[in-house]
Amino acid sequence: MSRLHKKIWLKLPIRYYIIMIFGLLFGLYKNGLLLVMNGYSDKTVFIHLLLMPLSGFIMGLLYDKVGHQNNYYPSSLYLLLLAMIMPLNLNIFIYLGLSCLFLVFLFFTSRWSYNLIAFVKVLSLVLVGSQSISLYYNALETSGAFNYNFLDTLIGFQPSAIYTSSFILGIFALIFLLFDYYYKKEIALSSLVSYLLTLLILALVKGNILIFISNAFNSLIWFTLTLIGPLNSFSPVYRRTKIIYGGLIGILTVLFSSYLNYYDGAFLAIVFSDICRLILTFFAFLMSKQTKNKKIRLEKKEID
Amino acid sequence: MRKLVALDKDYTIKLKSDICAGIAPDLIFLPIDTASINLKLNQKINMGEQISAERVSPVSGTVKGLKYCTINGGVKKKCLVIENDLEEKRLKPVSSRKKLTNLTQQEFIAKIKNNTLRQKFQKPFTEVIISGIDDEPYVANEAFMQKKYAREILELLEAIRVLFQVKVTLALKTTDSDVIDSYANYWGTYNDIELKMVDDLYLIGQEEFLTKTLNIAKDHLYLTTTMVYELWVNIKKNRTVLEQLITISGNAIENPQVLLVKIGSSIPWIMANFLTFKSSDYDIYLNGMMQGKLVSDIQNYIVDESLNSLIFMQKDKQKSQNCCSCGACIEICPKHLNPMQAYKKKQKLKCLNCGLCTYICPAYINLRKYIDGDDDE
Repeated sequence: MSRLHKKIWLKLPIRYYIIMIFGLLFGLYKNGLLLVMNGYSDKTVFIHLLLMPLSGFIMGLLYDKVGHQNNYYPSSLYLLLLAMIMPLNLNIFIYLGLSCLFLVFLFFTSRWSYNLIAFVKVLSLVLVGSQSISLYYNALETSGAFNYNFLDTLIGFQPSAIYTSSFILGIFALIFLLFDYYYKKEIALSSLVSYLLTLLILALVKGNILIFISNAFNSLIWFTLTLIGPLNSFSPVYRRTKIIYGGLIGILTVLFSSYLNYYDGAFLAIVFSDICRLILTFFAFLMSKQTKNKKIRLEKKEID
Repeated sequence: MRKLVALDKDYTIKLKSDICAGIAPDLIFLPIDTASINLKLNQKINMGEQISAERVSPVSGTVKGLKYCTINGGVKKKCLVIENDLEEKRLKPVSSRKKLTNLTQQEFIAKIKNNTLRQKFQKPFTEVIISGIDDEPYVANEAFMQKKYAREILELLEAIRVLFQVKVTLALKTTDSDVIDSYANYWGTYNDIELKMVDDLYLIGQEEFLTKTLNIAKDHLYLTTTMVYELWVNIKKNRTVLEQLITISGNAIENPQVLLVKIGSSIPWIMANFLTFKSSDYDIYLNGMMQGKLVSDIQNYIVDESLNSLIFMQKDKQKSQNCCSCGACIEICPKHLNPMQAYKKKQKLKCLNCGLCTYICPAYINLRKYIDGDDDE
């Protein structure tokens, strides 16, 4: 096709890859190099850290190649994103199983438009059960040898998934993505704004501003709301719907992660928002069908 | 009104600064209704001679028969073939010496030969808006028309202003400095005609968007500068327009240009005589890359009144991918439509055919193909 086309200097999937490379580099430093330097682990930790993203990436490439998939977002990107949000100490076989399940869902339900990554992540929570938080801690964090201050947590020294621990990187990622024409800014911004506002309200109601400070800079939530929530293929397309969807994700994230204390509350929020959206779409479809039928009946009456 | 956008164009494609003349074709093909003509084989006809109710001969020459040709819409039509004797013989000199502003409204309207234009003037209007804007990228017919016929255009606009007692506004793009220059010498004489500048945005030249941008009254009369020149020829010269400007452009040719051609010229003749191709692997668009039609076989095509450009673009190896649901096509559609419905649910849409959905799609899906149902795309 050679009709006139908008020039795209950097495709959105490439932007995602760049963010993930930086995230991975910081993750390797925080969860690998620091551990080796302080004697908490040997060099095999790097293999452990790279195993999940690499296997996901290769699996995605194979799936696209064998299945002749011609998608704007390659499956390797999705599986890398999935690896990015998985806990450090998750069993690799659980990840591989979830990746297979993800690809099966992607193949059969791609037209449903719900966030598959968040859905599979929630499924992983069902599998690992109550030990999910402990899976996010590396050896250094488990030992409790270091007491990190607020600035340390901002830079990225906080328990998180393989390469989502840097809050500052999360901010840079958001700015980098906001420059992309095709990035669903409305979802990212409305979810972040509603998250922070709801969190502030919760902190004020409870009279404890620490609730706000400790949760507002959670890098996993930040990455989830900026990278996973606005994923094009899995989110609404109309501007107003995007804003409402994002807003709902933000509010539900506070409910699940800060009020009910689920560490992976943001993913639950996305899944619940998707459920709400699917239900509303179904009712809207039913309503439009009913009004259509009414119109037909009225037209028939007029003809008679 | 939805915000209009500026298109990303290839600024290396530059047109020759002057209009090139392609007014001496060997053969002319005129689409006609065979029942309404009374001509014999080898009969001599003069330039400007009436052939049928709505057709005049653009050249003088000999009738050579009938042939099926394809016109801009892709429709095959029976055409009268005239061999051009290159003498350009006319029956009689017809131009009027009467000043246009001395005519009456009825005389003015009666002299208009184009039915559509006449009907426009028969409706009441309080304001006239003239678009001198080329919306399509790489097309510059309106700009070249104004550069060549600035005085004639202003003369007719002044006549409309005086005869109909209305406000006349001429809209130009801020980027068309050559066009503004071409009017510069005449503003002193025609200083009651209002000039308004608009940004170089796609679709700004269309009636709906131009009138909204400039806050023009609802009961307005919208004309393009090409229409104004046609009116001038009709009223001042008392004849119909026999030639037409077409832009021949694109990155597959060495010499992009605006060509003045006779109506009924064959496109293969134009290609053989006026164009040098950089490569043989190209796509041809009739009437622009955004709103126009992609044609696979140009062999039998002729120039008719609706054709304004031929764009030759090197074939792009970019392949389309599956829809990624980014919603950019919905965001950009000036009619607030959902082109994804045409793509995913095979629904037909009542759209402007502006091509913005195809332009913006990051997955390179040719959404116009699904909206139009055009197999050539």
